[in-house]
Amino acid sequence: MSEWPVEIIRFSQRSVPIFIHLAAAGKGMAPFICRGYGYRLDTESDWIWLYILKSQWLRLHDYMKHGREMSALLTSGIDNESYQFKGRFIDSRPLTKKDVFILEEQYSWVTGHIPGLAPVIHVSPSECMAVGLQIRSVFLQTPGPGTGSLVMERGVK
Amino acid sequence: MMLPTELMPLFEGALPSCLVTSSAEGIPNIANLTRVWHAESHFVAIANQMLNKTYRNLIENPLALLKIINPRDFIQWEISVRYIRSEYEGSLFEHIKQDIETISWMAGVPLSAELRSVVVFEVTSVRQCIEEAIHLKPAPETYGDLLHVLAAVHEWHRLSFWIPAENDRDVKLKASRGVPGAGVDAGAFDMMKRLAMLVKSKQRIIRLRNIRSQLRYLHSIHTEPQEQKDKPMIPVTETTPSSCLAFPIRSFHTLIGIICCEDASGQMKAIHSIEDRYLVYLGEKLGETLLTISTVPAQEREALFRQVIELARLQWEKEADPFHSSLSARERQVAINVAKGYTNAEIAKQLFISLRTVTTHLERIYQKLNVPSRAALTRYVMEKGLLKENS
Repeated sequence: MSEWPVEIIRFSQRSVPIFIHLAAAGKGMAPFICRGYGYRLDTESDWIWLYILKSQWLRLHDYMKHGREMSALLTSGIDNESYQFKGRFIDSRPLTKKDVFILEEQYSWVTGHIPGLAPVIHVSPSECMAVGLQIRSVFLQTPGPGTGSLVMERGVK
Repeated sequence: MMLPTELMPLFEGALPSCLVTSSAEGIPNIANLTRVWHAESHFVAIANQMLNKTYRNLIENPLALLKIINPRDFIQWEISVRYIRSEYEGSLFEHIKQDIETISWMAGVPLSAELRSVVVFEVTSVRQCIEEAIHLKPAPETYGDLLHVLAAVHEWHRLSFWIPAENDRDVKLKASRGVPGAGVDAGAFDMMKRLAMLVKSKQRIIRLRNIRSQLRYLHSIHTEPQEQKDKPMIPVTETTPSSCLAFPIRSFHTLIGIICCEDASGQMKAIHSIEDRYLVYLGEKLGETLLTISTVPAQEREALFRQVIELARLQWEKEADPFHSSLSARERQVAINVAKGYTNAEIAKQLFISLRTVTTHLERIYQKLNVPSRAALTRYVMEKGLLKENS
């Protein structure tokens, strides 16, 4: 059983809108990035699930031919607290009931804090899918003196 | 290459952007940016205050991607870039430094880090992330607002907006304006619907003139009943228009709507004086706008439609100008250099052509643009803003 660092657990429990970006790349290629609509840390493992549009998955899938390394940047829409998760693509699946709840929760927080963005991120769960990454390292990305410092590191099997 | 004008709001720094780079091994890295600056022409720049991994990646792989939110509609844009250089001094460096210091001063917050350098990128392509906006459905009143603006700007009085049904050749009416019998007569939209279906299947602009007389003629030669169940014969009545026009509304090459107009009481000129090229621009601009308009407040919709129509008109006028439509690329280069004040000898040297060729080009330019002299050509180029456009 893996444990996430305290600051990551605390960040994941914040009731704030989170800007999510998921990136992939290949050797010598222009990288790819897409918007995420929600995320969930798997507390039983070192996996993170990110919810993206199926249409984006099709583009992301093309990058799988060139490697499975991915990065996800999670940024609080309130105060820019942010963390970058780096790891390997492991799995993809449709959204579960729990995922749908998280997606709706994100929508309500965005509606409350950034109303102009709300219609854009109000996607139907059926249009989304969850992408699972096994995380190797997490970096602090909050602007400030500690930017880029390592928060967590572990080997990927 | 110049960046499209609609991209400029992206460089105002209203919302955080991000930059994704990749190491030589193909491991991506994402960095949040407070702002991206438009440097000049097709170059953009970012401030390097705290970039570490990003900077190392750019040395290993200069290809990167910027993702910026348009503050107007919150839709993201992807800007593919190539790292060109870092600047540690100079006008761009000072400009960005001043911007950062001013914001910091206004916020009353000390700079989190000094500006180390300005990272300059060449833009290689630009794309609106429409796949992230495809779920946005315009409010039903949107189409009525659009028809209202079109009627006011173009004096088209009988109008309808149709959207293509997903699975068959059918179309669905979303709004109409000035159509006789609308809401009362079941057949009021028969002709417009048939026209919209034709646009959907042919994917092009359709114009019909003198419909009444053509329909009468066709009816007269039908000696045997030839009606089809799904396509009944359209009778000629008092409200039958004498001409009509329908054109597709496309969003990034996908048909998302059809606008039909019919002439009412001899307004044929208002409909048919509009050129196809303009309608193509208009259809594209309206398509892009409709895709994201659900994020625009209702009270701002009409103003936005007016702005879009004006943009389409300007683009069409620019392309219709003889400078673009009649002059060759080489002749345009010569004309621009003349306007910049270069002599024929200097132009010849710059373009690697003979002095005689420059003179020949000039004679043709005078003839094609109908200008009598060098001074008149300079005035022509300056007044139409062609110098800036081609610089």
